[in-house]
Order: sequence, then structure tokens, then C-alpha cells
Amino acid sequence: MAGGYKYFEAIEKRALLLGVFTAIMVSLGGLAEITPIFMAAHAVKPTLGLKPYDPLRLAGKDIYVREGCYLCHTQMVRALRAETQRYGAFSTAEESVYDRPHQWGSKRTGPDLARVGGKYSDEWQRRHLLDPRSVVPESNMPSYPWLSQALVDGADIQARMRTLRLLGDPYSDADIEGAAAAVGGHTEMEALIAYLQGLGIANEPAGVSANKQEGTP
Amino acid sequence: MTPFWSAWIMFLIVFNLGITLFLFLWGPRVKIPVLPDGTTGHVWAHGVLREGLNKLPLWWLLFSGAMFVIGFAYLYLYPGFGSFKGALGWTSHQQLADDTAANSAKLEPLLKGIADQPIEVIARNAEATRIGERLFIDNCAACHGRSGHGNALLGAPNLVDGDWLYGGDGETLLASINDGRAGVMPPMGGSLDKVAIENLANYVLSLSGADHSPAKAKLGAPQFAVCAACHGPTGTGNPALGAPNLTDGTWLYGGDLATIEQTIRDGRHGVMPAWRTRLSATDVRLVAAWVHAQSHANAAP
Repeated sequence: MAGGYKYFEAIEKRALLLGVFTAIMVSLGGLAEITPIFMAAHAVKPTLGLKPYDPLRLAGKDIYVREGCYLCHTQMVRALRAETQRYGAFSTAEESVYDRPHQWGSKRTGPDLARVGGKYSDEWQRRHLLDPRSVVPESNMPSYPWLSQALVDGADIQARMRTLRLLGDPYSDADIEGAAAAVGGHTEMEALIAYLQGLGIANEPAGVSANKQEGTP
Repeated sequence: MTPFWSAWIMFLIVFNLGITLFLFLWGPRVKIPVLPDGTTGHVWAHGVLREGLNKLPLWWLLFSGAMFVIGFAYLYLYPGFGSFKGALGWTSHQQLADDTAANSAKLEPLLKGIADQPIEVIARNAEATRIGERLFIDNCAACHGRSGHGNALLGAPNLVDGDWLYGGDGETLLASINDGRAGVMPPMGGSLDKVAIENLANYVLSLSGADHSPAKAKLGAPQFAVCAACHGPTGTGNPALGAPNLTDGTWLYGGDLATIEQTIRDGRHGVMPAWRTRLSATDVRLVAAWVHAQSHANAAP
């Protein structure tokens, strides 16, 4: 193997060449793991019966993103027994088709919210957002009192729906036309609660609920 | 996964592992020219620092070699090499199904008969109620509190005081949990003015013997005829409607004058969600059993 040294020398003495080769080797993992799934994501179809967000829930979803709820709450039940028992059927990619951006998250200071819809009453959600400790004494969630004072902007929601239609969400002209009236007079609090109450239950993928287990904590 | 992307992944894995394995095997054998003083001639800081030549440490070689072995073994056993499913045929969904089945098998002797036994019997089964408590904490405690003492802000009833709106027997508990409850008190603010509401609230207070103004209560008494439709002519409530007993000094939302006035004026709308879709039939029975056990252990004799 005499003479092999000259190849090492050639690379190590040229910073640019060393940088290019390093970049190529470092990117291999990403190219193998991310690219195929990234491309496949475009082919994911919504689960049966999954509809794009109605105007109020859409407003709520954007408030959820704005307030950074995803920083403490995931929306992805993983295929692990401890999670399916606590939260319900594991999440599928098809359920998140209309979430732009998806809210899967990776930080779980609070519970997963993928299937929280209907778990609590609207009044509970309102009290909890205004003052979490009034219903859950040990909670460390912040309060969001300003949500009940701000109104949802109808024209803004229409603009968002038109943008989402460009991206492929099946909103009709009538949907967008009626959006301003649908959110008119509603507070951000009501929009967020509508969004939360719509999470999960109706979106539960058909056939997957079999992974729910009977009779266990 | 399409054949193209499968091939893409396979190519990248072969390319990556091929180059690194080649360098791992070949690199240490490459002869590096050495000067007579034993260094490579690479200098820094005007010759103050000079690069010597040492063999790679054995622990590093062994560790790196083990990484290759583990990497190849992983790609052989588990899904990862393109669309190759791995020799073990492992999937996360199958793992979940297996874990779930194993857990069910473990719990089977414990849960045997739960489906047929009355809630009152299950309530005496300590292991079953322990599971019920876990389920309660996860699902019910948000409104009723961890120990079941309720929350007056929400009108979530205290479940351990032996006092029931709809009834505390096993079958009624099951119905409440499975299908939820909607406790609707209509607002009277439209038909009664401020004074009338104050009088009526004083009359309501008088029913349980709480502090009140007898004069105002007397004036409010006739208005109670409307309330009697649900709460009964004497205010003792109606479990069929979940209309609270107003004579027992137990209050859902609070028993002070201001709160009662608010209740009369604005009405109340208490919601207990239905749990049938969220909890299995067995889960519901276990929760009901725990609640039953608590309420009967703590109920005043």
C-alpha cells in the first residue's frame, strides 16, 4: 500500500476539496432517510371522511401555532402501548394532510393532544385556557387570557383559505365566501376551543382503533 | 416505497458503508513518510509544534470495528436497507400488537368476570379499583379532581360525598360515564328582575336552612313554582333529570347568595362528556367501580 499517502495528502492539503468530500459524506444519511419520505409525503391522501378545517377551526389552528402550543404539546400518538392506552389509536400521516405545518411536535411537557377532541367540555377548555390551575392544580401551563378578548378576523381567514386552496386543500368558492360570516363575532378563545374539540375523534383513522386495548390502565 | 427510492437508499448505504469500511481497512496500512527525527514534518507555530506519528489505539480500532458489525447486523435483521424487510420481519405495529396482547394476557386473570359482575362487587376488588383509579386520574380528574372531590367552577360534582344528582348505584354510574350528562338549568334573567332574583335566591337558601333573609324569602316563594318543575315542589330535586336537591346544603356551583343569584339569572350548563367512544366497556366498569368504592368508603353514615 505504499503510495497511498499521496491521496490523503492531496485531500488534506486542499481545504476546499476536503470540505466538499466532507459535505458529501455528511449528507448521505439525510439523503437516504429524509429524501424518500419527503417525496412520498406528497402522495399521502387524507383518511376517509377527513375534511379540510372549517373557518373557525382553521382560525383556531393558526392561534394554536401562534401561541406556540406545539412547544409543549405533541399531536402524534406513537405506536407504543403506553401511548395507545392513554391517548387512543396511534396517529397516521393521512390524518395530518390538512395541517400546514403539521403539529406532530417533539416536546411533551403537557399531554399529547392528537385525540383530545371531546375529552373535556367546552367550558373546561375555556377555564383551562384562562387559568389552567383552576381545574388542574398541579399544571404548569401558562394562562392565555387575551384569547377571550381578541376577535377572529374574517377577511384574514378568507385569505388563508385561498392560500391553502392554492396548496391543494379542497375549499370551494362558497366555503371561502361564507368564511367571514362563519367566524364573525367569535373570539380567538372560541376558535381555539373549536379546533381542540375537533382534534382526533372524528379523524380517528378507520380500522386502526383495533389497536386500542380493553380493560387496562 | 417505490423501487426507485428503495434503490436510492440501497445505493447510498452501500456507497457510505463501502467507502468508510474501505478507509477503515486501508487507512491504517498506508505508509506515512517519516523524517529522521520521527515526525511527519508537519509543523505549527513556526516549528514549536510538530506532528508525531502514533499507531491508532487498539480500543478505537475495536470500537470502530464493532460499529461496522452492529451496523451490518442491524441492516440484516431490521427494516432499513431499502424495501428489504429484515430477517426478523419486525414492524412497529406488530410490536405494538404483541405488547398489547402480552399485557392483555397478564391482566386476563384479573379482569376475568369484570364484564358480568355488578359494579358493587367489582368495587370490593382492590386490584380492579386500582386500575380504575389510574383511569380516573387520566380521564376524569381534570374536572372531578384527582381524589374525586369535584370542582365548583365547572359544576363538576363531588363524587365521594355519597350525594348524587342522577344516582350512585352501579348501573346509573355506568350510564353517566358511557353516555355523559348534560345538566341544563335555564336562565331566568329574562323573566325575573334583579329584586325578584334576590328574593328567589333567599328562598332557595331557606330550603337548606342556610343564612337568608326570611322577609325576602317569603316574597320569593311564589316564584319557586317555575323551579319546582325540575327541583320538585319542596326543592328536593329529581334524579331522573339530574336536578339537584336544594335542601341538603350540597352545592354544585356554590351556595352563597351571589352564586345562587348568578345561577338563577344566567342558568347553568354542566357537561359531562360521553366516554363510550374513548374508553372500552371494561375500562368504564373499572372507573365506575373505583368511584363507587370511593363514594361508599367516604360517604357519611
